[in-house]
Amino acid sequence: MYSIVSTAVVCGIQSILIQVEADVCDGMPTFEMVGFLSSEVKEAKERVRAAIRNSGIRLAPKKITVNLYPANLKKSGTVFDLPIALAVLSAYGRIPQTYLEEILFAGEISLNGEIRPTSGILPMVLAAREAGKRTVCVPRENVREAQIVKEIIILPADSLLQVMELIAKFSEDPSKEVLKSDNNIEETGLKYHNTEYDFAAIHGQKILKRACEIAASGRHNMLMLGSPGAGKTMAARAVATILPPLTEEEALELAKVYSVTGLFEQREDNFRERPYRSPHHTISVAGLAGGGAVPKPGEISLAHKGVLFLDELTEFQKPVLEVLRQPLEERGIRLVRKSGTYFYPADIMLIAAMNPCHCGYFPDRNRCKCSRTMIERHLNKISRPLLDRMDLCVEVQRLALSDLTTKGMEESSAQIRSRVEQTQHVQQQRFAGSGILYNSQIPVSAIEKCCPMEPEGETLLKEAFDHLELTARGYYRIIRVARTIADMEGTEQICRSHIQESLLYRGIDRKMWDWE
Amino acid sequence: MLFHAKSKTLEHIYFMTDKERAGLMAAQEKSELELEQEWEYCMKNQIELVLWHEEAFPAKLKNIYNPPYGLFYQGRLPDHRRKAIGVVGARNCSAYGKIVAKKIGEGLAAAGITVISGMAAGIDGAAQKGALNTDGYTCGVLGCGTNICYPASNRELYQQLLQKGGILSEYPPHTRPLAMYFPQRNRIISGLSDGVIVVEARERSGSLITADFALEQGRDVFAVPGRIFDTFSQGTNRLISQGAGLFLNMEDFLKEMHIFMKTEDNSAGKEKIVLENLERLVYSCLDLTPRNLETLMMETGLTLGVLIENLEVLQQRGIISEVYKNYYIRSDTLDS
Repeated sequence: MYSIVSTAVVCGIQSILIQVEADVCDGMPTFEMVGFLSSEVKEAKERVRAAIRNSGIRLAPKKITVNLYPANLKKSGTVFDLPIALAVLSAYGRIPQTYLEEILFAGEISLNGEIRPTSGILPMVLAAREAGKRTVCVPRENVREAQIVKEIIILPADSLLQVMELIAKFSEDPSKEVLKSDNNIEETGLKYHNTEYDFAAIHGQKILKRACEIAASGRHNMLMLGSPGAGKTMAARAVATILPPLTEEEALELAKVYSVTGLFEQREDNFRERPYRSPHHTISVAGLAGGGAVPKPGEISLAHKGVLFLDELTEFQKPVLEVLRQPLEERGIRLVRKSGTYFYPADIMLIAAMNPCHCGYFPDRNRCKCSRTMIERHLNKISRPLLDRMDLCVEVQRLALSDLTTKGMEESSAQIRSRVEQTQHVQQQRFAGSGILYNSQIPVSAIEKCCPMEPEGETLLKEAFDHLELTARGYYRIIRVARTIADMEGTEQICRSHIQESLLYRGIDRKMWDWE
Repeated sequence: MLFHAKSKTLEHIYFMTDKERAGLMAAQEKSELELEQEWEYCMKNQIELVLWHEEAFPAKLKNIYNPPYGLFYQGRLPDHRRKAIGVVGARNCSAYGKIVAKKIGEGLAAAGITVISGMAAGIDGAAQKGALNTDGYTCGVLGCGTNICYPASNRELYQQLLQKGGILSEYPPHTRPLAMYFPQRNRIISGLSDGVIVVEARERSGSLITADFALEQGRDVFAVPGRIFDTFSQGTNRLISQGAGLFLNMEDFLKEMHIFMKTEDNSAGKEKIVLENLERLVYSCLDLTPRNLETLMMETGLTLGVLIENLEVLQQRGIISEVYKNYYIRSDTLDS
């Protein structure tokens, strides 16, 4: 007998529908699986056989052949266990073939027949809906993930026997819906969880706060320099709290990344909150950019549309940092492997922190004992091209005790966030229809049109170009930051004062160390 | 004796093996060859050598204890008829020290005095730059071959010294800058000078070695005083307490050194700078230790925009300067 079951394979954050075919005939009792399978898929054979037996189903010894179609796609992952089991059972005539092709099945199976959760459910369900399927059957633990997708019927799977029952019931009465998608999940993210890291908790640091607001408004990258314990990490966390919530589309894209990484539970309760990732400095290239034989998304993709914070920037391995350069420009990373090309989005706002020198106290010469060479060596750990991509460089001041104990009126994150939202609204109106969302994304070709400048501002900028030995990239980045500052004040033209402020945040790295 | 022996003589030495004889011969040839190559290199790169007994050898240096057998130099040697002052100090100096060193360099050059220093990072380099800015003559005494620019960060100064001043060293070209050479070169700095000014020095510092040499050689030692808690003033304050001259200002210093200014002092022509209210407020918050924007904002209570505006004006007037990014310092005393 022949049977066919629908499932899907994950490729990057996209998913492609595939079919599992099974054939049972007389002959030597073997179990053959074909169709360009990776080793974990080949192992499915043993799991399926044991699961069927342990579910109390006795199958006659026959020759079983399973094919995963189309055969030119590399099949990896563990979602195929359930569809393979169902295809075999159907080929034996134990369950009706009706609906097997109309419902999308996915799930890992254990030896006793239980269905276990897997990664990548969200893109699969999305692909199923796009292909016109109305029903999916996924492991119960993955149900919340599947529920994000609108207008789809979800059959939660607990065990092989229960799924068989479900199909039987479903086929008797197709109109009966078992579980509907739940649209409430969209609202869950609107509350902010990290109230602990509110800007209200940061005293003084006016320039740092200003820089944070500019960075958040225009989604500019930021580098913080400061002595140990000055509050760099706290500030980075606080930046995440002043970013407006994700739009539905962004949230869905981000959820897909988390889904294929198997980390969806991290997004379950804060679906619309912008991610904040702070990998430890021992991270590898693959950990940051994504990697593996079948590449999984790395930290830069997990921070998509949110904040990637690299603390102790100088301690990262050099190749790891250099890997950031291209994704920062392209807002995504393309990983090429033998099995195919994988694209993961990585539209990040990079925030980095480092000490100004080895001991961390420069330029307080009474405390810092580092020689010039030592300071240079410290800075040289960060390559110029990477520094060039940091739009705002700001120094974090060590506070006096009196600053810490005063109960001043500090602005809360919520207040700042409302201003940031306002500024971003201005930007989105300007760029409406062009695919650009923030000032940091203005292409060079559009700079002249989007950034009209006062003549005095232009002169100042020209002087700075020589004075700070800017690169072309640095030059345009100054203009983009000035654009954001102007937007914050609500002026269409960029004034001299905006350029002046923008220049404050540029070239700390160079001027700071080169004290002539 | 053995090294310079001719091959024939060697043959008669019964306790030497053939192998040893051959090795010795090869060494002789090699050293001659190297000497020749080095000489050619010097000719090509205009590195000159003046020996102790020669007329051109700096007179002041001739009479010190343990003078160098000769000096390799590029550019010009210091003019022995002119007064020369050594300006030395810490490499990792404070921004204040750097400004002082530069002013001293400028002041000495304006009075037609030669500035001798070590072309090191920090104080040394700053003083020499100051002298060059005022078109004075200054020479750098290196602790390595004159063809090596050490530290490499002073490349620009090195080039200027080659053209407008002098670079000298007792070590032959290609000598690496090793730590052991530097204390020795300090005796040349003090030896070439009539007096030495120590601008900034830690409690234990190479500049103090120079001061010791200067005293041994009978030169006057002056030190720039500093605040007692500043690391870089520990050494100079100690020198003063031990009896070194106190460097108060250029005028007094020149008087004490019995040097009379050749040029007319230009203070009469100096116009009085008048500051506006806000500028005065910002200026009053600055002193000789670097202050950053954040602190200035807190102290003046001005908004960021107004503050930058005023700082820029003050900077253009030349009375403050930005020593590190967003760190400001007074760079000129203002009569109030």
